[in-house]
Amino acid sequence: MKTLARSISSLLHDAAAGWNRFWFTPQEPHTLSFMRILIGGMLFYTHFVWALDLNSFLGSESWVSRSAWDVINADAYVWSYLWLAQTPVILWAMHVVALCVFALLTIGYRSRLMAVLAWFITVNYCHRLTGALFGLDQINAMLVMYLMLGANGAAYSVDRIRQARNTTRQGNPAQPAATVGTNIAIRLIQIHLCLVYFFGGIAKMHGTAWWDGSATWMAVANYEYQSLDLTWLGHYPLLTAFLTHVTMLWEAYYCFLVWPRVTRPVVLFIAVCVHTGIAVGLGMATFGLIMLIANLAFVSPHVIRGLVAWGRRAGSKNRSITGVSTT
Amino acid sequence: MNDANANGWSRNQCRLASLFLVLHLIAVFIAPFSFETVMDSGIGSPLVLRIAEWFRPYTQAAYLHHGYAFFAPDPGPSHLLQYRAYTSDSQSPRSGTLPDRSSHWPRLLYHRHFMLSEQLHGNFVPPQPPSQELFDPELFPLVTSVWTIRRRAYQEQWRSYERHLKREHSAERIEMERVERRLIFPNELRDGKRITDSDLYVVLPEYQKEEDRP
Repeated sequence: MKTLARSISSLLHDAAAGWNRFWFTPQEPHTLSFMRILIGGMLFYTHFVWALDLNSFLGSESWVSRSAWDVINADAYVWSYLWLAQTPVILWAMHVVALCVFALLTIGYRSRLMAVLAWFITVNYCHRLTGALFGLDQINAMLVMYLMLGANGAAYSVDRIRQARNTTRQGNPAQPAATVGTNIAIRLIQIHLCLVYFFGGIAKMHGTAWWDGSATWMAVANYEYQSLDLTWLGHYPLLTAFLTHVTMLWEAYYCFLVWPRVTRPVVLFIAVCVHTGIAVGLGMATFGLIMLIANLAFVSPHVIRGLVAWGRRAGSKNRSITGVSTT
Repeated sequence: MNDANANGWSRNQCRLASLFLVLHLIAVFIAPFSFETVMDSGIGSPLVLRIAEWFRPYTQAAYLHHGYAFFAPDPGPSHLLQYRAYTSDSQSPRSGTLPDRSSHWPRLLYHRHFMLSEQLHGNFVPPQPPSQELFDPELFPLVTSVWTIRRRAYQEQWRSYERHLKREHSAERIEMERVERRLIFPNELRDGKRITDSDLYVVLPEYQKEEDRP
């Protein structure tokens, strides 16, 4: 009996240690900071597009009026400050402020504050825009929520440049510090992304087309989604069946296979293929891109730092070659 | 916990953060789980729905209350909205479609209009109330109540679109219809059919009696 109690105690102790290691080990900020640029850019673009038909979607004469919104969202815990805009001028002022916040988040000026504001604005737009939203908005809101938990401006940001300038003046140029908050933000993105794929896979398993191999064909044969004519796939039923089964199995098992180091590159490679396919072929470049951005959470800060440094070196080399050739 | 202490977080900070993390993770798990358990009638797992209800204020307020069913359960046909706007000074009505590749650009704006038509169709509820014979007598009042709420929401959304189009086109009257573009089978493609063929459009029935008009 004592042995059993000791085993259980040891097991619980190990589990607690594992939990703490998983959540409370500091992480360097390069992955989260790089993601901030891309998420901020995507939020800016998403909201810039609303501006092209602002009154139709958010004005007093919008597609979904206040009375319809109230009925559709009856009993829901949602509200939006955008309902306070009684005139087009106020609505435009609110929208310009939102775009400024997203732009400042992208460049990393007062990054933590901008992430909090960006999350608040994003959620309010999502609540207001019932009827016109899709997966892009869900992932946008999810990513910006976690972004505000970590030191998203500790690298690749105006904040970083300002901080480096100050510390250099004091003779102590510090590297961006690893923090627990950054680790928590990245871990939450990873786990939430796993849930998105897992339930996406489960939902597909309710259907028949993902089992009989015809789902890929059904997606590419839908003219309203089509941005690249892939109907030639209809001549290759084995290929469409293969793509269908790989997509469903990859989605359902992503949450198990993305964690081991051996399978992670394969899982992320399939993610790149699937989301690039959606972006290029099915007319949802923004959705494909935001899913790829979310997958960056599984790329280590060292890899991101190396890639950015390589990009900078390649950029400066190109500039110097161009400089030589033009002189 | 020594590791955590070494990283600048006290034992209590870690405990408090762990509590929030556990609650948050349950919330983001239970929301999509609850969507999976709900059937077409609106009835779902009492256990999962009860737990999801506890977390609903948080998940809805933070815009986390989703099912993540992308192209699921099956990628289906697309649903468009066709309309005709009748003005007092014009003989022929102005007509339009949601979405419209020629006028809705960039692609994201097109997709927003596509979602307006798709989600109107997705919210469609037949005007006839559910039939009592098809349901467990104990569940029937709940099924009827779900139908009433959903039907009213659909009607409001329909009328809201009508009002918007009326104002946009300065029209006196708007006629709208939901249209489904059927998908073709690969063998039809091999026989020369194209996904843009006009005979693939089907106007969906909205109501049978005038009093059932949305």
